Amino acid sequence: MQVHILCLILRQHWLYHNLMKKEDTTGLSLLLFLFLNFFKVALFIIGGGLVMIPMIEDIFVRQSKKLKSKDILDMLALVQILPGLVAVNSAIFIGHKLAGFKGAVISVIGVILPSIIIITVIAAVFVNLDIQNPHILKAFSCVRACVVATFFGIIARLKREVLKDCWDYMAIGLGLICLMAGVSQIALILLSIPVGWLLVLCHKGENQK
Amino acid sequence: MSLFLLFLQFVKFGALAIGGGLMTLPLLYDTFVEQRHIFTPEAFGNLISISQITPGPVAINIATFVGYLNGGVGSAVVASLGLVCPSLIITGIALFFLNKYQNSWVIRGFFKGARLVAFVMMIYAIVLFCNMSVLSDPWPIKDILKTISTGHFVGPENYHINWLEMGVMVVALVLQRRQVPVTKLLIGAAVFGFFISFL
Repeated sequence: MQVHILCLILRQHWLYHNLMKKEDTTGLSLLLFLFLNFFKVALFIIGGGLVMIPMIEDIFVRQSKKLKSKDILDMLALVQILPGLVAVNSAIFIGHKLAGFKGAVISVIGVILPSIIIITVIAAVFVNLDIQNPHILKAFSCVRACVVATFFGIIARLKREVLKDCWDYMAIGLGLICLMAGVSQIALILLSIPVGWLLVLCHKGENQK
Repeated sequence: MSLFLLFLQFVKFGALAIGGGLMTLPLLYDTFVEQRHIFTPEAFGNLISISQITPGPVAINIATFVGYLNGGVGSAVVASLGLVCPSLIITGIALFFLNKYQNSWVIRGFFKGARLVAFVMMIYAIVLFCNMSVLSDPWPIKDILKTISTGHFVGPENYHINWLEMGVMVVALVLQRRQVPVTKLLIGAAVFGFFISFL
């Protein structure tokens, strides 16, 4: 029995690595790629959907080179503004970009499946809903510390895409001060739209990017 | 509650969750604690804390919990699907229009601004996650200013830095420079934290 399960895991691992290596995955294997990756990513979302952004960047931009870092920024931008969960909307965006509506559905299923499995098990086993195991709490706390490090990494990599001139730096600084002072995220997002229009209209003649 | 009603209920929550899954919490509380009396307030609090420390998006975790307690695995799946349905439709439509009018200044300006906000959010996320791991308490902004201006440390009472997590963070930063995949870093951190807590 155990040998069987081990074989299954090993085969899946092999399959997965083949998928990651393939340059032009299309059709069914692309859908499988999306499903497996979002399943994996969802296993590490602990305390908020933003955790998955560095992981997505790592998997889709740096390792499999299917997206550009500009796409990640567009995704982040859109996800903040549309209704729905951050994790689910990111999955929809990337799935749609790579494989159309089919891809979006598959990615969403990949993202929600780990939750459904894990929570169902927990709800079935811990009826009184009380798991304050110190070892597990410590493990999650360490994961969050690691997440902070990955945020530093992704910010360093995305910096070139976002910050092009001094106006951008000023906008970022202003935004941070607003957040620190307790302005809500939604207000900040709404505020950003006219600022973006202003920046684009001022630079109309220069680079059309 | 019947399956269909449960589905509709979560479709509503999904459509109203602007700015992330945590925005659904007040709605969920209102519906399931105040109106339908399915949970007591304490049980609901427990449910949120479990959803936050288990893997997966918080709102999906809560939906699964509510569904499961309502009527087993089938209800759990229905509730989660209900939560993602509006996102699929709305984001699908939005992506269609954005692709169509990609080159107009309205859309480009929108993305320009939204990218800046997204970047700000990433920087702010560092602060949020530091408060949940490396620092024992949030460090209030007025205390930070006081520390900078007076030169000696001012902070909340019982304020301390978790040096273990700090170490994990520094090691992760170094490993990241060496192109170690993020997934491996996170698995490593989880295993390390689990075993170090036995000491």
